[in-house]
Parts: sequence; structure tokens; C-alpha cells
Amino acid sequence: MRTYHLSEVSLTEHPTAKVAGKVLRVKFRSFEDHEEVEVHADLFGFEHAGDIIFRNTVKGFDINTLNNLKDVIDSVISIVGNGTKLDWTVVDLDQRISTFHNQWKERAFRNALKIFNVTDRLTLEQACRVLMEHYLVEPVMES
Amino acid sequence: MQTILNIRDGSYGLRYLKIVKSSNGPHYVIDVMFTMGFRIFVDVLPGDRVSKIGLELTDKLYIHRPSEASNIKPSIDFVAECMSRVLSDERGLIAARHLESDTLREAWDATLFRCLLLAVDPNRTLDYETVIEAVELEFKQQIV
Repeated sequence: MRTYHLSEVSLTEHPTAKVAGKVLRVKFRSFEDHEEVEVHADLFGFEHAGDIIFRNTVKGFDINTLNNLKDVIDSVISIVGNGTKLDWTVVDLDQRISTFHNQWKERAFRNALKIFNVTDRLTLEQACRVLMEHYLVEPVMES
Repeated sequence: MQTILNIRDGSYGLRYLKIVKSSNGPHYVIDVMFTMGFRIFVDVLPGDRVSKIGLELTDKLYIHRPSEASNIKPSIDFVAECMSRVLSDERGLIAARHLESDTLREAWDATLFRCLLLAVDPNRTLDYETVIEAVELEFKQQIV
């Protein structure tokens, strides 16, 4: 069984129902071979919040990955849940979604640190040195 | 004198990495064995640029396994970075080193960590301060 870490979470406009719907995408990446798996759910306003279903949840996800998915769902409900329903008409929706993205970038990072067992593998100084290389020293490559 | 790291789980298709300090000269021999049985080694000298390690390993890969080169290249890049961490000085040149047994393991783990960063945040969208804080918190929790 592969071990996956969260690599990306996004909540974007639905391609065919821009006003009423959003698409929640969650990407996972395996430590073993960097295989990327994406699951997504179509979310519509006023849908029952408990009905969020990922259409292509991959069989064989470990319990940690499934718990991550549950956390993502709980976060969506907390930012756009109106009682038990999803609601895209809240006044500060863009701000809430932006906060959601930022929050999940950080959580994905923290989650990856735990799965990687950074404290067992490196000292704090070694870890900080690698972070410095990645974030401060290397030029950003244009994709 | 040699320093060897056995890769028990076969990560990156590798069986072992070895650095041998020549007994009759200043050079080092970098010896890489893949799980498929393919083995390559290159000589490097103190004062050479560390980038030479990756270039020479890649050259040998294309000479000996041209048809599988695209599959093996990511492993070569990983090995080159790992070896650079062991042998590089602050100017990016190969330094004469007394190699400790843990040196290769530390370099291996640091390279794995860098691969993790490339996977989780390839475009560096997170703030440097945020990631430092997250790592420090992780270490603090470990102490508690």
C-alpha cells in the first residue's frame, strides 16, 4: 500500500454551473513513487453538507489519507456551510475560499512533515538548511 | 577508505551508494548500484565542481543504458544531489573530506526532504516564515 500526503486542495467554480456550483479537488501524492491521485466532488449550493461525495475515491487509501479527506470536507462545511446546507451566497465567499486555500496549503505541508517523520530523519538545523535552499537560495523555475 | 549506504527498501531503484577515497591519490570514486543490477562509478577530484558528479553519471548512463535512460535519470539526479551534499564546500566545489559513516545517511535524508518540498510546494507559494514555524513546531512537539 502506498503512503499518500496531501499535495493540493482547491475549491473552484464549476465549469458548467458557475453560479450554483463549485468543484472541490483534493490531490494526494505518494511518497514511494510520487504517483499523484486526484479526487473531486461537485458541490452545489443548498446541497446537504453531509452529502459531499468524492466521485473517484481510490480503493486502497490508508486510514491517514481518508482522515485527511474527512478533514477537507469538515473545512468546506465550516466555511460555506449554512446550518447543514452548503451556501454559495454568503457575502464574503471569495475571502472565505481564499482563507480555505491558504489554510490547506499549510495543513498539507504540516501533514507531509508528519508522514515523512522529519524529526526522526533530520535535526532541526539540517531541516532548516534544506528549507533555506528550497525557499531562499534556488531561483524559481518558470513552468 | 570507503563510506557505504545500503538502501534496504530499494528507494529510487538503488541498492547502495558508495564513496571510496583513493589510497594512492586525492580522488574519490563514486560507486552506485541499482536494484536492476546496473552499476556505474565515476572518479572526481577535490576542486572539481560538484555539478561534475551529475554530468559524469548521466554520461555513463547514456553510454551504457541508453534505452532506459529516461527511467533511470531521476535516480541519477537524486544520487548526484546526495553526493554533492556530502562532498561540496560552500563554493560548490568538491572538498577533501574525512568521511564519517553517518554522512551519507544524513545526505540521503536531506535529499529526500528536499524532494518532499518539491512535491508539496513546487512553486514556493508558502512563506518561508510559515514553513520554518511549522518545522520548529514539529520538533517542539517531539520534545514534549
